[in-house]
Parts: sequence; structure tokens; C-alpha cells
Amino acid sequence: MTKRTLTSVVLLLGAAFLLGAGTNHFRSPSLPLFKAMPTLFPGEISLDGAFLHYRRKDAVFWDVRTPEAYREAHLPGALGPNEVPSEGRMTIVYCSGRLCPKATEKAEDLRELGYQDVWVLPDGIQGWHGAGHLLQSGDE
Amino acid sequence: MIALRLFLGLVFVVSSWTKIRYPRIFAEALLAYQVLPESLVTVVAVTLPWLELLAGLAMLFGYRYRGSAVVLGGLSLLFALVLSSAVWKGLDISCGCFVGVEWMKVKWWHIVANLVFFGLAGAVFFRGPGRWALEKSPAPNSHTPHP
Repeated sequence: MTKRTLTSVVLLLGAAFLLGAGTNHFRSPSLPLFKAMPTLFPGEISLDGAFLHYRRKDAVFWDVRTPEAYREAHLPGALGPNEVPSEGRMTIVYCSGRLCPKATEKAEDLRELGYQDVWVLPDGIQGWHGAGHLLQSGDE
Repeated sequence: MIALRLFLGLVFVVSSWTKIRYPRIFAEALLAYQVLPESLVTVVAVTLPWLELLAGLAMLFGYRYRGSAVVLGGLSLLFALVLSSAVWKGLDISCGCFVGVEWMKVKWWHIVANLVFFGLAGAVFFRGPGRWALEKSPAPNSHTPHP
């Protein structure tokens, strides 16, 4: 391998690290580098926490997956993707699971609209189902 | 050669984009592979997508093509190894190749695809970038003969 090739590789690696660490620094929330990733970030709620609010019936759950996925199964009483939660109540937004960015995006949209009490359930419907909690199917 | 170079560059640029946008989701996908220490997952999750983007762009434009071929070839080989370990362990996980595309589970053909990318990077490295590149491949026998 020539010196120029090696220089290119080192430059690419260095630039990628600087850009990655730099953009991460200005991102909210940023990922903690060289540390284990937290299970929950600010604005997120645990499965246990969400279940507690489900039992108390003091929160609205909003399923933001596709209408087909919603029809197949959703958290009991959850709003569908084509509905919009009303302001003033605690809203818990979820999608399929930890690899789905949609819930975070929709929660951000609600916060920008002025909703105060908005939370994301990062474990999503997969986590809910995996924990043995009930699901519901159909349009309501 | 130009088609191979553009294809390889484009694959990595496209796949980097959602990973840059959603580093946390990409970190979750990396965690699922169970190959990295947890303390390294986040730094890899924020760095690797930029490496894919920069090397992919360098490949697309044919600039420092040998360096970008080494990086993209190395990444492809690394991905093939990590995917193989997931298939070997029988993990039913999303491949994380394109963040947000959860249905794309780890399958053996992902390993084959990455080996093909490795081959493409090797071809660009040894045969040059082809036409429409910012950097030309050195002409054969262009070295200065020793007196």
C-alpha cells in the first residue's frame, strides 16, 4: 500500500471521527461516547412506567406505525396513526420498537406544537408484547 | 469500471444517511449484534456512518480512490464477519444496514452482498477508477526507470 493510500485512510478515519463526535456533541440528546448507552434518554418512559400509566388510565397511547400494523395489533385503547392526541393529557408515543425512529419524531412534532406532557416508549409494541402485556386488534 | 465505482459509492452514501440522522437507533442495532463492548458502541455508532459517507463520496468522485477502496473494502469485510457471527449465533435481528428499515432481518445473502462489495472495492483498487474520476489511475509502466 502506498503512502498516499495510507494517508487517505487515516484522513478518512480522522475526519469521520471528528464529524461524528462533533455532530453528536450538538445533538440533543447526545450519545455518551466511550460509555455504555443508557436504556432511557430524556423524554422517554420505561415499559414499567408506561404500564403503570396504562393501569391508572391517566395517559393516552399513540401508535404511530402504519394503519395496517395498527389494525393487526396495538396497545389496548391506543390512538391510531391517523388520529391526533388531544392536548392536556399525558401522551405516550410508540412504534414497533427500539429500531424505529418514528415515535421520537412524532413526539418531537407534538412538543413543537406546544404539547407539554409527551413521552416516548422506546421499547414499542414489541417490548410491550414481550413483557406479556395484552394487545388489541381492529380499528379501535 | 465507472459503473462499479459509482454503484459502490452510492450504496455506502445511501446507507450512511439514515445512520447519521438516527445514531441512537444505529447504536441499538449494533448492540443487538453482541460483538462490541458496550462502551464502544456509541463511538462506533457516531463515527462509522460518517466514514461510510466520506469514503462513499470519495469513491463516487474518484478522489483518493485507493484510500476509499481500502476503507469500503475493509468495512464490507468487517460487516460480512459481523453478519456471519449473527447468523452463526442464530440471532433474529434487524441487519441495521439501513436504519428505519426494520423488516430487513439478517440473512445469509447480506453476507454475500458484502463480499461482493469487498470484491468491487478490490477491483477499483487494482484496476483504477475508470472514466469521470477526479484522480486518474497511474498509467502502466509510468514509474521512472532507474538509471
